[in-house]
Amino acid sequence: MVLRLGSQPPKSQRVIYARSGFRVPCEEPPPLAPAKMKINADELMGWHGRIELRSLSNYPYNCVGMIFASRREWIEIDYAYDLLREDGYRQIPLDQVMIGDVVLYKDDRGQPSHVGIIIVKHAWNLTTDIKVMSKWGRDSEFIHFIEDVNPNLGRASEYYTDRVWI
Amino acid sequence: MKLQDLFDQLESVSFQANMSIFSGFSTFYYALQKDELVQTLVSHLVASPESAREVFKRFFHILRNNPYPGYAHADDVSLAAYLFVLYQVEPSLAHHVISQVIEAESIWWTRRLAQRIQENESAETRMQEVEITLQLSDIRLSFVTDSGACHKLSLIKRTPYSGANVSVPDTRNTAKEIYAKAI
Repeated sequence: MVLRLGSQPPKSQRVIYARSGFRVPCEEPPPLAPAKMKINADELMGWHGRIELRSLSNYPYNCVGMIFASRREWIEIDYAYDLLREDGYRQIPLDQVMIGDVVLYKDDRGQPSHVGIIIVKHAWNLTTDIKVMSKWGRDSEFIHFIEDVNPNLGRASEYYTDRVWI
Repeated sequence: MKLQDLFDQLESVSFQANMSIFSGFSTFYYALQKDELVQTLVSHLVASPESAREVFKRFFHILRNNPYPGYAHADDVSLAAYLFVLYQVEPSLAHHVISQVIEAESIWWTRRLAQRIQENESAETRMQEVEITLQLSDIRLSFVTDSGACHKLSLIKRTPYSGANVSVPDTRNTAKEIYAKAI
């Protein structure tokens, strides 16, 4: 019997090392033209009035690279759990998140689809507003409420911190 | 919906911006699979197979016209959608597309889709390996073909085991010759 293998990690020369030394491959997509970035950003902000544009950098990094590789690499979202684990993050409930923690979005299959970093937490009488900064694929960096991502990016599902205290 | 209308929508800023936001091929591919416009084009081509050639021509028309030379192709996600649709409906045309884009640097998602199709087809070919058992006298020989094409046989088991390492290169060998090599 011949077993079919699942998807293989992308063949790539570039890697980053997690804090544990775990190797994570990186991709090298071609950069979008600045004019194309602007066109896409206008379209994406039009989807929801509360989304703010933060950066139009066309350097080819993605949401994972923004958080785990200082805006220098494109790391497939499939490696999000590896990076969280190997960088020493632990999962926390939503009510314990603080600025600097990471939110993981999942699609309707339950697969990781996006990550962002929490930059604002503001408690009101009965609710808490949480704002996130995230890079949307090859498009721009946006600042948005935690629930205000493009539907293709899934829903905020899990929260992680590397704080030494909670 | 007319074919031209589908082209217009699949090449629109809205489609491209919303499909450009993925951070991994797995999520991009999943989005293509469930996208309504993409599925509409698949249905259109199933109902009108002759339209597949129009999609094919459209693909190369767009591919040749990148408004931003030196940067990622502006219509990359549209091209990926067309390749995805062609592969669903008219794989022979898709294979021609793949041969043209598999090394192209400026089309990120399209190239990765082409590579994934090739990888999957390669895996499927391996799945077509067939085990053949040959019983001669008191010795049983088991062979496996190297691919669905059955160009080669490799001995994988000899019962009773003799430790012989036998490679049988060609199915044109007669059973007698195979047997002679195996023992």
